[in-house]
Amino acid sequence: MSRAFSRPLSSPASLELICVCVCVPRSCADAGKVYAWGDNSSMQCGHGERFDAVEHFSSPMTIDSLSASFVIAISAGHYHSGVITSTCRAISCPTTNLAERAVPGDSQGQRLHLGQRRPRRSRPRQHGLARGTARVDSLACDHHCLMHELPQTPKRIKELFRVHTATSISCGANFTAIATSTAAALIWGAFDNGRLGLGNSVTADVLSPRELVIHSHRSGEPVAISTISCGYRHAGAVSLSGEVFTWGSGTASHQCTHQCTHQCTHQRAHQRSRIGLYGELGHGQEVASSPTPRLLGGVLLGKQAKSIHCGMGITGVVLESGQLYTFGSGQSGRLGSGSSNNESSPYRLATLDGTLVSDFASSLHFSIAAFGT
Amino acid sequence: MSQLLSRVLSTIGSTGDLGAAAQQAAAPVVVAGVIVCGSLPGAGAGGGGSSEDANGVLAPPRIDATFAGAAVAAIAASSSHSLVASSSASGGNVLGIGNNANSQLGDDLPMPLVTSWSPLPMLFGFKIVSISCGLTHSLCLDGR
Repeated sequence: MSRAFSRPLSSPASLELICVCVCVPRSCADAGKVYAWGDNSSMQCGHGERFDAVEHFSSPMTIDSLSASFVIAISAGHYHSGVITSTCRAISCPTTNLAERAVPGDSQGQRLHLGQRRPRRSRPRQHGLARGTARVDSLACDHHCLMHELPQTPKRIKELFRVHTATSISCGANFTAIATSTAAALIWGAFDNGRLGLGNSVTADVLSPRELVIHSHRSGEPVAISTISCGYRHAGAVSLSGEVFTWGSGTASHQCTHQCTHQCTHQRAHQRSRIGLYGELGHGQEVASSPTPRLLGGVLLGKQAKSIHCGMGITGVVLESGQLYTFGSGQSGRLGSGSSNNESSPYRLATLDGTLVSDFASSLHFSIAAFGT
Repeated sequence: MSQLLSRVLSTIGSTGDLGAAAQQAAAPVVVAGVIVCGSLPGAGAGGGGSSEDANGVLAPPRIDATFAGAAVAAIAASSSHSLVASSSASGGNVLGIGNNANSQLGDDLPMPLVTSWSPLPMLFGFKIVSISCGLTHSLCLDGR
């Protein structure tokens, strides 16, 4: 859940420009290379079938199957990974034929029984197919406590992806979201805790990208999304106008079945789950969870947010002005508030006024803020 | 602001005036760094070795020495490990800290725990434009 801090090499505008100029071949050597290392038990490193037996990669290694693609964004979730590639660049690479590829069925939201061998994913598969735009690759699937039949063959992409160009991606604990060049947001994965922001009507895991429409609290019109971040059981988004929305953090609503043993970590988390445990939504103690995106008011109302980071029970919002606000779990003092108390409303790190924060990320025990970039 | 962040800026000032320089908008040199809040179990404050105060809050260190003359290109953190990528004209560097039980920081670093910010030798000189931490794995995007 690392934040899906992804800094696209190209802006949406430049992507469009490249699309126009696809007739001008670009060398594949220009493409950004993706390196992955660490735990590979769920094939989250995406290095392919020949490394099936490798439980972990001890050093950064290039993902060969992406070598012909121009990768613009990456994100690592708990047990899965995602990248966005630009087909515009890849078009010049003869080995890539994105137009005929299809999406896999076991994207985020795929549930596998714990204790069983997880299926090996031989190579990055597409979540989305796009014509001349960008695609989203999923390097591995997540695991959870419910068993679903594994699709053995890729299924066709939803029409949604035919009209969207992904620009950024965020992989959370067991769900994924992307923002598009049309300022839309797509999200999929585990539905419980309200983390998808699709409302209480969603009662099953969302196995393919679904558009997340955030309505303005004033006009009721859809809000244009700039960036989106997936955390552990909550998520957040920043609109083009700088507004911040958060959602999720509700109780786990799925019912563990007989397939879920007492050793299931998700079930244990379910049992521990309490609404408003940390205040990571930032809406105060009265509104501790929300099944749909909710505008973050209070001290952030009227301020121009730049980015949001959702972690495990913690949220950080970086403003265009370089100010940093944090809220949620203060475990080990990671909020920077000088204590380990939780904050259910945005807390401004006041003494950083002279230091312009450009980015924020948080682990379970500490947070880091980048400045000067 | 809190005692914690006061100590941050105090530390910054005492180790090269990076904080003061960062406040100078027209500073001619690239000033960048990372501020760390909180603690890493068994590693001191964010791995920086700062001591714990009376409230049990660890002072956040920073890693400015490594980033002298460089910009922070990307930061990432997961539940138990963290990565910071820097970039400069001569190349980049990636520093990591935290749990390394699954080699998420690479086997060149101590296992199972890296207790101070340490460079990942395999990524030295890379132009990292994006970096991300999963629960027990890591990704980076090399923009060279």
